[in-house]
Amino acid sequence: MTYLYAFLFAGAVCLIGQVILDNTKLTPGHVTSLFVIVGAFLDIFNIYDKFVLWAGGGALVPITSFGHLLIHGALDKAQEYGIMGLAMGMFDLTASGITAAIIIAFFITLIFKPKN
Amino acid sequence: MQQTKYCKLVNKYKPQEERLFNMAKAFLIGGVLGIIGHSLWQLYCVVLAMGEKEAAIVTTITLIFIASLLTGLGFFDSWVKFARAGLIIPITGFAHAMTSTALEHKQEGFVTGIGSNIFKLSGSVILYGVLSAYVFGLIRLLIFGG
Amino acid sequence: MTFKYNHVYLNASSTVVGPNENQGPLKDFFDKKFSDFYAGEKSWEQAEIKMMATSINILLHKLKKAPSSIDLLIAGDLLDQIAPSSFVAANLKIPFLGIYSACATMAEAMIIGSNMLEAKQINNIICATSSHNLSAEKQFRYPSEYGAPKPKTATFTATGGAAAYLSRVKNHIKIESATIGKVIDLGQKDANHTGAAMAPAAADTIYTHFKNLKRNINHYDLILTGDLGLYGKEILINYLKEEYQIDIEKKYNDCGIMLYDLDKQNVGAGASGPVSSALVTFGYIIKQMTKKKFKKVLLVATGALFSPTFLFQSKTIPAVAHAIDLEVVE
Repeated sequence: MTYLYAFLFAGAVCLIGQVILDNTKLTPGHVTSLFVIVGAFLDIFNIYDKFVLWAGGGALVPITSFGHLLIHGALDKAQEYGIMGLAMGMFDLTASGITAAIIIAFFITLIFKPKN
Repeated sequence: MQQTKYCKLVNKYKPQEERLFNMAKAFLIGGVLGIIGHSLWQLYCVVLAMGEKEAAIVTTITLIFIASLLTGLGFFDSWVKFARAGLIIPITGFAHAMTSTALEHKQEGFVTGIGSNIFKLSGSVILYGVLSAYVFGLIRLLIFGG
Repeated sequence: MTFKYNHVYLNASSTVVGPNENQGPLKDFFDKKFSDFYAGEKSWEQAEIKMMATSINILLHKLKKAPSSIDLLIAGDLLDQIAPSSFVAANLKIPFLGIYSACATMAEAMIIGSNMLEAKQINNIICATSSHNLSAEKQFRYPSEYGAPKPKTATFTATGGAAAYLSRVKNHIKIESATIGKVIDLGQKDANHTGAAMAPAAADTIYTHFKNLKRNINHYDLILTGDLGLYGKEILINYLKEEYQIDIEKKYNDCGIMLYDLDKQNVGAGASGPVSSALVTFGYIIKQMTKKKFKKVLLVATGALFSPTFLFQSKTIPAVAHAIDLEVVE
């Protein structure tokens, strides 16, 4: 069942993104930035956590999950260190994703040449 | 001619974008990516016996790797042109934005080309992600205490 | 600002194209084709230099002239600081004027040259331009490997180089007159619909040209715009009717629509770029004029003067159109 919810959730988020792209002058950059903010916002009330429970990997796929992971990393460290902890823990959960994206992008760039 | 009157003329001869088709594509392709994401997660948890959190990390890295590789191979851009939000909204969009920009500026050198441009498209996501996570985290700390 | 000329002739021209133009309906009309976007160079920007340089070399070869016998080179392109033109000029060592009017560059070059020829200030001139789809996208929009989705109104920057030789030596095609356009800005902000930004400029220039010479559409066999595209073309036809009561519909075509097969090639609303009007005019139209299929052609090259920086600051896209009257000598 989780597979179905994964499909529906990820599909719905992308659908909303497409509707915004088609009906406003916003660019892909605007929409992805907006979605990250939404992902972080929803976890003020633990809403995105419920989406992850419900849709599993499907909730981790859209860029909204990036916002969700950022705020969780920040809050987890804040348990121990208070407000300082927000900054200390910010990248804890996304570190591997960002590091991977940087390293992989670099090596792909070294190996390949841009085409049309 | 007045600007408003000219805008009306421009709109009269503007073609209709295939909105329904775009929405369908975004929903279906985004959904399929959701299934792929969940399948990978289950694969790593069950078959490779990783903890849930680890498996989630490796799932993300797998998707990032595939997107970057396909960008380097040169055909991911036509997939993105077709799928639109279906491939831009998922984490694949982030990896693809970084790789495509870095590739584009390869000729301008390691620092002034690749280094200066790799975050050109994705920088906005990182900036507003961190900013909002901090502000919302602060709000949560103050309201709920953590 | 309209000029009439008695002693200016188009003696030769050359066209060089990239892979997309080589698959279009005019593919047999070009002098040289490059099969990929790198043209054997390290980057797209350097490929653009090569394309413009190649077109000038082919032109000189056709004329059996050396660069030292050319009085003046006027060239421009789309890239920052019109660098490709500067590099080409550096190699040729011909006195050089670099110009920028986006896709109206070739017409601007020919107007300046024609004026200097008519005034006997120079004996001959080479006008040249180039554009490259990938270097233009990199500078003005998104990395090409990003595949940013585009609306149907978006045009496709043509890849190639073109050069024309004008002089006072009589030939079967003359430059009869020209009109320098005013920059017109009707508040268009969509960089993916440059046709809408440029149509009013084209209309203003056509109207001014007709008014100053006391002519109408009957004087011409063909009116050509540079790169308004499929939708810009419709806008122009109707804008001219409504605003100026001029009907060009039956004698009008757009180079951007002629350069590509819009159904089979994935090029949006048509070709754009400085080289779009030049490739169609010098590759195809001139040859048709030589066969007397068209005797009097008004080329209205349109340029969208847009700057990404200003667009992000929510400013608009002004445009300019320059008109050149090409006629067969009877």
